[in-house]
Amino acid sequence: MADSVLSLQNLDVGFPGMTVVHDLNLDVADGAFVSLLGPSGSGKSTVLRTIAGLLPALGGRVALEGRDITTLPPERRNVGIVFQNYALFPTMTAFENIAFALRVAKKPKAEIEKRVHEVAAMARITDQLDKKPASMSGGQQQRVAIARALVTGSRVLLFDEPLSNLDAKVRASMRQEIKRLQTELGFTAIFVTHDQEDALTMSDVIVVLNHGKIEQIGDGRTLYRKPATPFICEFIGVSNELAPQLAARLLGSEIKGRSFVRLEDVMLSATAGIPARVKHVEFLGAYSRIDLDVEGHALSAMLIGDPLPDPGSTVPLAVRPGAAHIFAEAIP
Amino acid sequence: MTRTAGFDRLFYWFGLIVIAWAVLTFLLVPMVAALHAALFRHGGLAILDAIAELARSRRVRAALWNTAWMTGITIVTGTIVGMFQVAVLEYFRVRGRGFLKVAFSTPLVFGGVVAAAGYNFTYGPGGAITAGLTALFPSIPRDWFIGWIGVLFAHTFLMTSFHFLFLRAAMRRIDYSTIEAARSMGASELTILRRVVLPVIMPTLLAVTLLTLSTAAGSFAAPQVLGGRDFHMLSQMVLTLNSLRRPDMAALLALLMGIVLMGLILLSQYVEAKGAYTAGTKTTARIQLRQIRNPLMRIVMHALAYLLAAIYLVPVALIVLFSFAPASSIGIEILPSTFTLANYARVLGGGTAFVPFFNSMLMGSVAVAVALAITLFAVPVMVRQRSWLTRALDISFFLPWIIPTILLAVGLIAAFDAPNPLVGNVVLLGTYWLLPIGYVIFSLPLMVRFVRSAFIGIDPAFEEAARAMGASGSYRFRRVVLPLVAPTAILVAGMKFNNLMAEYPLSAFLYNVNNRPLPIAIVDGAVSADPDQAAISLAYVTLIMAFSLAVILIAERLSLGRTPESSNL
Repeated sequence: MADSVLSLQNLDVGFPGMTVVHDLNLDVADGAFVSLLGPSGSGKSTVLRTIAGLLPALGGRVALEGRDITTLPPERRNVGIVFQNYALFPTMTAFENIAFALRVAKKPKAEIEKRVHEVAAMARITDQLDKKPASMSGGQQQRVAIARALVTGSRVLLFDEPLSNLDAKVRASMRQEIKRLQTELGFTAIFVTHDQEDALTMSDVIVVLNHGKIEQIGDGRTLYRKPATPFICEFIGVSNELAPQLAARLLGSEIKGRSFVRLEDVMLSATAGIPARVKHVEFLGAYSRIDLDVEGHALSAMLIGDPLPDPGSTVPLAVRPGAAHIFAEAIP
Repeated sequence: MTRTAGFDRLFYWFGLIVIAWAVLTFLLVPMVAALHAALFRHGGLAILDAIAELARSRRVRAALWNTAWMTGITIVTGTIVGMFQVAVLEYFRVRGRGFLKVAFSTPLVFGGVVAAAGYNFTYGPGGAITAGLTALFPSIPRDWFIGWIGVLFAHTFLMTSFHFLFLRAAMRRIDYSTIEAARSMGASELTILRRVVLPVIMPTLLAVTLLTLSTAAGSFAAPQVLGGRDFHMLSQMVLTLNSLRRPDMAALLALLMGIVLMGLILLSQYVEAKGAYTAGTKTTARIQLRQIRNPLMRIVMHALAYLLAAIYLVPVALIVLFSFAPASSIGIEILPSTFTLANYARVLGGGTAFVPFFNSMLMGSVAVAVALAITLFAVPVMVRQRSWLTRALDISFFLPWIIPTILLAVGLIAAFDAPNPLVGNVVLLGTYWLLPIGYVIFSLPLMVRFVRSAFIGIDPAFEEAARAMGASGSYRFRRVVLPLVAPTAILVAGMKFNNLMAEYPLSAFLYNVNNRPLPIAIVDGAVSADPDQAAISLAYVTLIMAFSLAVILIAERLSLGRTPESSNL
């Protein structure tokens, strides 16, 4: 691909004697926000560390702007890294943190001043430059970390689960902040996360990894609407897996393989439905979750608004036509 | 009011009064007595005269000068050895890390009088290494180790326990991703060390240096055993002045030393507290050991690490070996050729060699029992009731931790060398019990700190539940609270008992012919030319080391020994 800024070709990553991800191929367009999403142990961080050069590649190629960087040491790759917990040097001010790479490269003093102030202005932390990390808020620390990653002119920033230790509210605002900086400054972001909300809200492209294999690459809507594998179907969003007999009854034909229905695609007031007994109603505010018993099989549905069925009552149940996800793969 | 509640109140007030009396009599009055002896003479303020008199003494001037330069050099050599240990154990990838860790931890069980005597047995005139050296090079004098060399050697290698305990912990607190971040930005290994690692551990390094400084300046057993006839330090001078019946001079010198040492300890706490860097993050990546790339450097690093391990382990090994050897082989053989249990039989068998052992066991266990009783009574009171009285008690229990032991000893002598109304007009000096009283005071700070944290850790719901079910105060304490703090209490009692078996400063000042304790016997045995004495001291030292090791291993099990509180200042 001509306009790809970063490309991974047949990349094998892992540790000597233990390949974690095998034969990875990925092209990242300039200015894109790409998430590597997967449960822990899926190999996503290992991929990121290999792109950064913190781990040697076991095979294949990493190319940045058409240049092969597979064997270059981290500092010569021109990719910036935003670490988990940011890894700001606690003994240095924000200015010194940002200037670190420039000082190591022995840039002239005037240039360091100029570059640090430029990037600080972009990240809107000019007034924080004299502070040490401990006296900054989490958001400010994040901006310093991004500024530090950008100061050497990197156009590709790698994020190693930077939000993983934050609570839900802070996390949401940090997400918006990263996305805003990325849009304003136009860098390319590779973002590792195990949180589907992180990935869905920020990314142009999501790469879902599981057990060292790419399950699917696509934007958030595609992953949700057209999951390529049962794993994606269960990992992103919430689904019911239909037992074969129930699938036959609900979908109207014999199903070979596994079939899933999203909670919001289960309808409870169909004209021609199968009777289902309401076991439990969970009111969650914007929507409610209804647990049902359909001919001995458990099934859940999501309802928006009122009225809610009473527990113990029987409702006619159907699946929205065409909404089931069917995979040819055998039931494990 | 029920009968048990009435009894509880009575017991409570009785206990409080006894503790207040004990603190006043054995801690505050001796401090005042020491101050008075130092500052006043013939009813008038005479401190300037006394200082002038001290300054005129050639021996005092020499001891001051020795203490000053020995402390200065110890700081340099001790820091080098301590930093090297930390680098080997926590920063670089070195083979046999577990073994090296055990070797470098020997100062924890092999310190003070035990180590001083141990080094004398190894390198001194009757030592196995000296025997080996003189066999190879007959021109070497047998007392080559005695003097400033021996003291400096002991200081350099034995005063690294602060580095071992605290600096290693600081190193482990470094967020590894900061190192990775620096590396990803192109920093060299040296830049990472200098700009990322060192600034983070600097406050701890400073605090550890100040603690080492204070330990070195107050050094007592090492110059006493290894300094020989010509190298004296200030602690010894205080003892000499005291035995020359100049308690005023002794008190003044102890006071001047005390002020300096207390200042150093408080400064170290301030430095440590002020410099605690927090990155503002919750979890940090654990530091990963760095491979040394340069092969030559790697070989040098390993060679030095194992040489250092040998320096630590060889004396201990020789002591244990020779403690099973007949007295006749000491100073003659490099390794014993025959083994016997005779030394242990004499130490444990009830003869004259048994007396110091018995004295120390008796005084140590009585002191620990009394200190434990005071602690278990006072701590719950201090934790639950905040008032000026409990706060005063709190500070009093903390005092012996920063007051140098020799100042406490001099104060006890000054307070009880004449009939004292607070103890029923008895002259305590010269009796059996003044030394164990000193031991109690000396034991309190550590016990109070440990037991207090155990108490604070108890969920108040336990007591509330017991109360809701109608248990009285003393019953709740016995059946609910005490079992919860018992492991800590037993452990800290063991640690303190172990310390007391080898406690030198108080023992040296307060013992008399009737209660000559183990540490004094060890020092006498170490400096005596009689191989029989030396053999017995070896058995003493081995027994103390074995006991220390057992206590530390149990503490590690209960994960208590790793906190800063466990250090013996």
